[in-house]
Amino acid sequence: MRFLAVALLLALASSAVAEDAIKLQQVDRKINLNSQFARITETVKAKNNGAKPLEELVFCQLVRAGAVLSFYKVVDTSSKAALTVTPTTVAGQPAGSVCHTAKLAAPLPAGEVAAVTVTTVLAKAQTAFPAEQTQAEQQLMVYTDNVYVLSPYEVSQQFTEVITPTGKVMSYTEEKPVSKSDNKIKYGKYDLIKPWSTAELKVHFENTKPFKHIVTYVKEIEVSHWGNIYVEEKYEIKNSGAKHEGSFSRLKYAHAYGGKGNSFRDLKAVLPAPARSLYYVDLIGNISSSNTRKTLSNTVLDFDLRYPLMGGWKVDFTLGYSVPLTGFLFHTKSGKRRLTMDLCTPLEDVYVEDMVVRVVLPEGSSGIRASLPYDMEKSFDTKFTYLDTSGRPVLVLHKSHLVPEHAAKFSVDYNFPIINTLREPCLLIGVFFCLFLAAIAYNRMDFTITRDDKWAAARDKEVLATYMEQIQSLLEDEEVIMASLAKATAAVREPADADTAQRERAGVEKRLRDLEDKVKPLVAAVESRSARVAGQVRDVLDKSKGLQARYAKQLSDRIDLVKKGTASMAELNRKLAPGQDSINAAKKDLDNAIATVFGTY
Amino acid sequence: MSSPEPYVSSASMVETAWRYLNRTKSQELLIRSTCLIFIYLLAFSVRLFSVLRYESVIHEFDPYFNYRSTIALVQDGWYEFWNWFDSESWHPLGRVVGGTVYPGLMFTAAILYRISNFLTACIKLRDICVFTAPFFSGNTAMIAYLFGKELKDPETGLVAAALMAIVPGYISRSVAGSFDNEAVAIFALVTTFYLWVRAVNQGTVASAVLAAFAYLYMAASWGAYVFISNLIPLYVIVMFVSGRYHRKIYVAYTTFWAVGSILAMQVRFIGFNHVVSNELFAFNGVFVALQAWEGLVFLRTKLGSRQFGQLVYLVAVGAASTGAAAVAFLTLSGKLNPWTGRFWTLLDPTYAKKFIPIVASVSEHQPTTWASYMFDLHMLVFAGPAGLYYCFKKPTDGTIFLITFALTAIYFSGIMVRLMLVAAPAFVLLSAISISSTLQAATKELRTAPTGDSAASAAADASAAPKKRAISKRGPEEAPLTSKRGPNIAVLLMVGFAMTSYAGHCIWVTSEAYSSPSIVLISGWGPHRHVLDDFREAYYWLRHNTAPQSKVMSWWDYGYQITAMGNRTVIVDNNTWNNTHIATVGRAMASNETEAFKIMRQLDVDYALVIFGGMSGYSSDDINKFLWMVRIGGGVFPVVKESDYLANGDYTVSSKGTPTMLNCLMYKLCYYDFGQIMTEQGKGTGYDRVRNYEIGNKDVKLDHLYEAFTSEHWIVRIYRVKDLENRF
Repeated sequence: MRFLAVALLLALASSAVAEDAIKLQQVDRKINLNSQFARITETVKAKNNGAKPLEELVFCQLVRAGAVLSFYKVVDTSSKAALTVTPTTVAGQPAGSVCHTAKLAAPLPAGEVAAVTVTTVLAKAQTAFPAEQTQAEQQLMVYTDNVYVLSPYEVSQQFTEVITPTGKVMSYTEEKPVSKSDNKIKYGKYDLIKPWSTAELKVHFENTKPFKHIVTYVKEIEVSHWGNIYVEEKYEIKNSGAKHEGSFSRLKYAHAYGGKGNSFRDLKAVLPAPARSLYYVDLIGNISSSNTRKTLSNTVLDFDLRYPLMGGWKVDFTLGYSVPLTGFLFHTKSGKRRLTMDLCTPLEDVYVEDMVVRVVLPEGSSGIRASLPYDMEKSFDTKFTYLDTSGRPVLVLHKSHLVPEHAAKFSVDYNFPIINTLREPCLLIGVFFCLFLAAIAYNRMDFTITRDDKWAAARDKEVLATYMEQIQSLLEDEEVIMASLAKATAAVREPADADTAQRERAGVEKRLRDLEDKVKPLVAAVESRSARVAGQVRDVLDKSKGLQARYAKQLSDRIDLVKKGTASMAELNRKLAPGQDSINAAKKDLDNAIATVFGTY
Repeated sequence: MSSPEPYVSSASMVETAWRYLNRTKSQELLIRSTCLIFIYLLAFSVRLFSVLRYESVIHEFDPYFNYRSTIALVQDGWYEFWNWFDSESWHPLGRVVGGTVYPGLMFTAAILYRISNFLTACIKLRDICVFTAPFFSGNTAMIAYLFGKELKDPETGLVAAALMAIVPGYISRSVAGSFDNEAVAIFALVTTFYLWVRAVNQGTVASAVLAAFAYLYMAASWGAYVFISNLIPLYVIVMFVSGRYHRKIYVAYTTFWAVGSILAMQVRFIGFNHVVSNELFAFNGVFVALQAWEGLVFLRTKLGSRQFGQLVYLVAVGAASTGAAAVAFLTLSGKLNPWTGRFWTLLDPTYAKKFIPIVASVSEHQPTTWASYMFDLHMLVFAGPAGLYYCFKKPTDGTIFLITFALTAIYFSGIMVRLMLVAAPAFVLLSAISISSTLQAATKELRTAPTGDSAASAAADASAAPKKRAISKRGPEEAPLTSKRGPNIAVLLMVGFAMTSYAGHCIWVTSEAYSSPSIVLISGWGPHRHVLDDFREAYYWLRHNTAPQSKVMSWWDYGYQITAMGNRTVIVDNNTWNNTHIATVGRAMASNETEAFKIMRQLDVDYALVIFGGMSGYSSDDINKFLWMVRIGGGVFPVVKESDYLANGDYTVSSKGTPTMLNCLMYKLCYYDFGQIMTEQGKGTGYDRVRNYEIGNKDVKLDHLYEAFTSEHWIVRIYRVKDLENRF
């Protein structure tokens, strides 16, 4: 216990020593206000005056109430390597300031100098003054910060430069030495500034840049292993510049110089090159004002909002597109799938207050793991869409306050057995199969309540139809058998063929006799229901018999002729032609009879 | 009966299938079902021009209300919808939507949505609504097939289905996006008629109950259900008078009346009107009369002729006196509603013009011109009467119904353009009968006619002759007409040509005239295409940039669109149930700004919205509708006089216009800032491109309102009503 307390005290002492031991030799600070953000870059040379090697440096930034520190990055100036940054609190830091600890790439030996660059992006740091303006006025903004670099260390020498969008600056803090040229205001150099020195820096200037503020942004990425990735982005956008006051005159907007005030209407989205099936809609339909350009590396979408957004006006819209799997979905070495997509909005120069990214993976995916360029809240959800039974797993990522510097790619790894792609086709096949089964079952059932005469008559008719169908198929079978006899006849060319033909004929006749035996009870059954129809059926059967006899005669004639030694084929055919004609006539007659008698069943 | 052993063919599966396909019956079935499938697809896809040219969006005015109520129905459920009180319209009165709406369409769409979601098809509600009309058109074509089959034969059914699929009179109200009552109501109407004819033919209770359910669907969908419940009694009367009345009709009508009435009364908007309304007097009266008649017939078989005579006398006197007493009682107790304007309009086409300006102001309520018959029916105008001839030639129960239906529908279609919709199915069915009869006759003759034109085949002629003689009822002394190949082929070619030109016309009309959603205007083609999307621009601005409880005053035409797309409360909308309220808005628009400001303060108005076409050349704008506002306003408030707005009988906003006209609110709202702008080369400032002259008062100053938003092409202009000024 005592040991711990001592260790703690020692640690405290050492940190105090460290602050004294570090001195910032030179700080060049640039505050760029040429957009809706405040982009601050500090080039710092820090010297280790202590005895021990130095591992960490602390940087602070004043963030006024309402503003948000969105992006923070510390880079080693010489190697350009990003340093690990963690938020921290330091004893003595003024209220409203935010401090970060940057861990140096290598410990800084005593007496050495480290050069780092700190990049900060503040959103909502510019406030409109006046807060409301009419259509014809230009937008004026106020930015407040610290004249000196806010630092826990002593600074030997420092400059601060403020860059405004135009040269029109209404007022600025005159902390000497200060100079202004065009759109730049230079403060410094200031020598030997104590730690935590503050002096308010306030600039009142004209800012004609659009304040495109996305209030909510929801991006849904839906992966289909059938070859498509759907991306749908929902936006709620607002003009967060000075509020529009009084009337909106279309005349002034369209025709007067400067009549557009601080409004904006156009947006630009840079989408992946293979993006297709683009749509740009809102709740009430298409917004017919967009233009797409394809470049080598991107698809650029220039589009207009439904109406120009004056200060404080808002609108919402949805942007959607599809990309193929190629180039976005990969196999990893461990057998997983990896989806790699853009994380932030494709819109240029916007501030996103709240972003939700939903990655919808196919049904049956598991082991979902995301690798992200920065920290985000993660959660899981399920989505039911086309032909889903158990729902698709959804990875939900959430982050607030994003600026263009946040644009980066992210990837999601997951397991997906390929057999799962067959799930949906199988489901469809199964459903249709059941549907047909049900239809078959329904047709076979009898739902009649009263079995009266009408029912009996209908039933009789049905039974008759089944017999007629059977007789018809029997007749058709007979025709096939007779066709084989005809074929055998045609094959007889030499006396030697005669035996084969005779055998064939015997076989055919036996088969026909079998059929005749089978047809008798059927005809009898028809007879018992309708004598008229049975008579017709007998007629047809007689005709069929006649045809059989003609076929048989033709065969025996041919065999005779061949045995007599009729010379040529032509001669043979000529002699047999009358028989063939009568066969054809009889066949046609039979077919017609079948069509008339059986056609209605 | 012992059944013999079934014969199983030894043929292979392929062989069996081949044999099956070679049979005439299966070939006929195949051709017929293929035709029907293609007709269904045609009926659906011909209505998609609007989606292809524009987008999948709800059209026009009323569909927006239907869409909005469907959303409410899907989100809140049946019961909430039933009790829905809409405070977003008719401010400050509100509207009891649940009780004043025909919910059939919304229920249909909601059920389709639920089914598609259950089947995990995940179709968006808007797409369901957009495609409801084409879907039901396909169904209507199928019903037309069944109807034709019931009236004559399956061939007639096929022709009827094909004609119905593309008849422009029906397409005009059923393109994709036109989510209106008529979209499902025509289906319900044709189905009810078909099932009714079927019920008469079969004479069974079950078939009549089925017809009654179709009637329920119609009653739940469209106010024109009254047409059915008057036509069917009329048909019964016609059958009675022509001496064709039989017991099957009695069974069908009695069942239909009993079940149909009870079912229709379940619709909240109809309720007891179905019993007490004069519009349904014939429906109920014929039922009573039929019962009396059948009772008399029954008694006559039981009683002697003298007793029967006495009974008839007693019954007649009793019926007359109780009937008179009942009518008197009902009228005095206020149960019997007076004849409504709608009724008089149908009997006297000029009634509305004289007495109800709000009805007359709607373009679809104008009398039909001959040109629009040609436009909407094309060849059917000629084929229809020919069908009447065939119906009269061989009258059956079904064809007499068709004749009754057709004649009344044609009469009504002459009164209002809108009712052309009801006439279209009648024309289709009549034409189907005439076309299929002509085709059948010609093809039959062609088949039996001699194959060569030589006189050698006299035998064939002779064999065909007796048949023809039987058909053409000529005296035996007259020689039968010899059937020749040439004329028959000519007839076939003529019919073929007529059908082809009909199809061409229908598709042209659909693509050119009936596929514009009217909320998006497109001019030009290809790279010169110019989209005017001002309505949605302004409505969406309202939705996002005004306080949620703001009230918007506009002419009633735009009420539904503002509530649906802008999601803001309106003073009046297309429901037009309260004429006084509409007249108040008309009065505000017609008054000078100070007067109008008082009215707007009273109505709690935050924004005033006008539609203005002078900049873009959009001609159906509020200035062109303004005279109706004056008339409707003047009908209730005599302060507003039409003559004040007419300069020597001329309606003009040029420098000749009257001071009242040039200072009224409507003029100011439309032309604010317009006097400073050049619209056309070589014309002065303030040149109105719709009226084609310079406006009279170019220096418009507003005291109590200021411009809040104007859309890109100035079509929609929205003004904010200022608060009262501080007194100190």
